[in-house]
Amino acid sequence: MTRALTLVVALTGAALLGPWLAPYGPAARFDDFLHAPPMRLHLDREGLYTYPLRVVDRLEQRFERDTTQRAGLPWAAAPTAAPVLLLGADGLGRDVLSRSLHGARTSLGLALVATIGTLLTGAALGAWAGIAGGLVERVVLRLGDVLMVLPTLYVIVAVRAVLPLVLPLPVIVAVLAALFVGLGWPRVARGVWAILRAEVRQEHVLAAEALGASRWRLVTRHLLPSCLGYLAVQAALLVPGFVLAEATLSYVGLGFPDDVPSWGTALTAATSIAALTRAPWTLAPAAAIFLVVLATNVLLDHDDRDLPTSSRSR
Amino acid sequence: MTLARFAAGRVIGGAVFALVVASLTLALVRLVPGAEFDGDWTQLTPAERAARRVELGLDRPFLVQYAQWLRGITRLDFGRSSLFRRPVADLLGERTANTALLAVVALLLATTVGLPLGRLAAAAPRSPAGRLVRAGSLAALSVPPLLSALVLVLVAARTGWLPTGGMTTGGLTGLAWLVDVLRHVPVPALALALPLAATIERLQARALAETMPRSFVAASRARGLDRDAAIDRHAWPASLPSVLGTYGVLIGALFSGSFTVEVITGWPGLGRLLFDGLTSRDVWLVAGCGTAGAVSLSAGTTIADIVHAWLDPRVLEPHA
Repeated sequence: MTRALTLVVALTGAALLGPWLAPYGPAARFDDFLHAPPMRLHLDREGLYTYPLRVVDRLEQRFERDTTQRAGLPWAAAPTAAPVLLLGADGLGRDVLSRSLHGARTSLGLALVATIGTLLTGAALGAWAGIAGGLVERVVLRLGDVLMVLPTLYVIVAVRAVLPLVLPLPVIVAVLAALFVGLGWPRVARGVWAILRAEVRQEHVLAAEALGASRWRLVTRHLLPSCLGYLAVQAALLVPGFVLAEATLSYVGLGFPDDVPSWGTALTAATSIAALTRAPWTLAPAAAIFLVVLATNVLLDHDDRDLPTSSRSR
Repeated sequence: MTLARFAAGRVIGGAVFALVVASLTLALVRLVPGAEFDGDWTQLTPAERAARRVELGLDRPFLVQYAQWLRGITRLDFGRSSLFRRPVADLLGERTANTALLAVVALLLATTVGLPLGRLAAAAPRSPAGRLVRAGSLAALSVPPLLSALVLVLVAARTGWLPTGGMTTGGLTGLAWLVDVLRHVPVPALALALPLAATIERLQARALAETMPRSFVAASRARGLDRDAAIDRHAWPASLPSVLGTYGVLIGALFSGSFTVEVITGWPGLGRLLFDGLTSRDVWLVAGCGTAGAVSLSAGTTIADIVHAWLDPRVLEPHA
C-alpha cells in the first residue's frame, strides 16, 4: 500500500520534473551511438561512475566499454564529453532515459487531463440524469449503455484515422482528450447516477430540501460529496487506461507524431523486430507503463477490503 | 421468462447492435469532414480519379450508397477493396476466422489457467502458493496486451523458439501448413491470454471466497467432507456461474486486445485488416470490417449471455 503510493508519487514527480531530470533533450541525437547499450553504473569510494563506450564498428553498431577511463553521471558530465546513456540509445542515437522522462510528462499529462474531463463530464451527466429523471435520465443512461458496449480501442482508432493524419499538436491533444472523455464518461455517469438515486432518500438530504435548499446547493453540497470515493476509484482506473490508449495509438502511428516525446512514440523505436532484438532497452517506456498500471492495481486491490485474500496491510 | 425468450431477445438485440455499428462505420468514413478517403489516388489524373469514384460507387449521394450497401450485405456482397483489389467479403471471411482462432485459443488458455489458480488462491490465501498466485496475477493484470505482445515477440526473437510474426511461413499445404500455423499461434495467443487469465483468476478467487462462508458449504463439512472435497464438490460449482457471467464483458476486452496484438505480431486478423483499411482510406473495406467486427462481438457476447442464463437460470428472473 505505502509502496504503491510511493510509486505513484515518484511517477508523478518524474512526470512533473521530467524535463529537468532528463540529462539530454528529447530530440538530441548522438550519431555515433545508434542503438548503444545501457551503460552500467559502478560504485566505489569516489562515488558513482560508468565507463564510457567506445565505438568498435559504427556500421554494425558494436560498442565496447573503455575501462581505461571513467565517466561521471550524465548530469555532471561536461557538455562536450561523450554521452552517458544510462538506458541506452534508440535507433536514431537518442537517449532512452531522457526520452522516457520527457515522455512521462506528455503521457501522464494527457491521461490526467482526460481523466479530469471524464470525471467532470460523467459526474455532471450522471447528476443531471439522477435529478432530472424522465427523458433526460433515459437518454443519458441508454447512450451510456451503447457507448460502454463498443470496443473502445477500435472506436478511437477509427475516429482518429478518418481525421487528417497530420494535425497541429494542440489539435491532436484536444482530439485525443475529447475521444477519451467521450468514451470514458458513461461508467462514471452511471455510478454517480446510482449513488445519487440512493442518497436522495437520505434524511440529511430531505432535511436540507425541507429547509429550502436550492437544487444546485442540494446537488453540490449534499449529494455529490457522497460520490467522492467512487470518483477516486474511477480516476485510479481511468489514468492507466488512458496512458495505455495513448501508447497504443502512438505506437501504431495514430497518436502523437515522432517529434513529440511520449511513452507511445518512444515505443515506436521497438516497432521492427530487428530493432527490438538488437536494442531491447528501447522497451524502457513499456516498463514505465507497467509501473503505472501496477501501482494503481495494487492501490485498488488494497481498497478491496471485502476480499478475504487481501494480506495484512503493510 | 423462459430461456428461449431470453435467447431470442438477446439475438435480436445483438442484431440491432451490429446493424447500428455497421451503419455508423459507413457514416463515419463517408460523412466526417475531411475524410476524403482518396489518400493514395493523388498520383491519378482528375479524369482517372473520377473514373475510380464511379467504379467504387462513391459518386452517388450518401443515402443511395447506404441503401445499396445494405442491399449488398443481404447477399453477402460488401463491395470491392481498393487496397487488395479483391471482394471485401472474401477478405472478411479469412480474417474473421483468423481473429476467431486467436480469440478462442486465448480464451481457452486463460480459462484453463485462470480458474484453477483462482480456486487455489481462494482456498489457501495465506499459503505461499496462494500468495504467489495473488502477486503473479496482480503483475499479469498490469501487463496489457500492448506490453505482453512486445515482450513475447522479443523473447521469441531472442531465443528463436517460435516465429515472431504472421500466421504462416507460406508455401506449405496440408499437415505441414497446420503444424506451421500451430507454431505461429502461441506468441499472439499468450500475449492476449496473459492479462485475461489474471482477470479470470481474480474473479474466480473472489467468487469462491464469497461462496465458501455460505451455510451449504459448512453443512457439507459437517457431513464429514474434508475441506478440499467441500470446495471442489460444493463451493466451486456454486461460484462458477458468477465467473461465467462476466464472459460477455471479457469478450469485449478480448476484442480490443486482439487489435493491438494483431498489429504488433502481424497476425492477419480483422483488427489488422481494419487498420490497413483505415490507413489506406479503403471505404468499403473499413465499412465491411466494422460490420464483421460488430457481428462477431455481438455473437460472442450473445452466446456468453445465453450460456450464462442456461447455467444460472436465476438470470431469467426479474430482479433476481
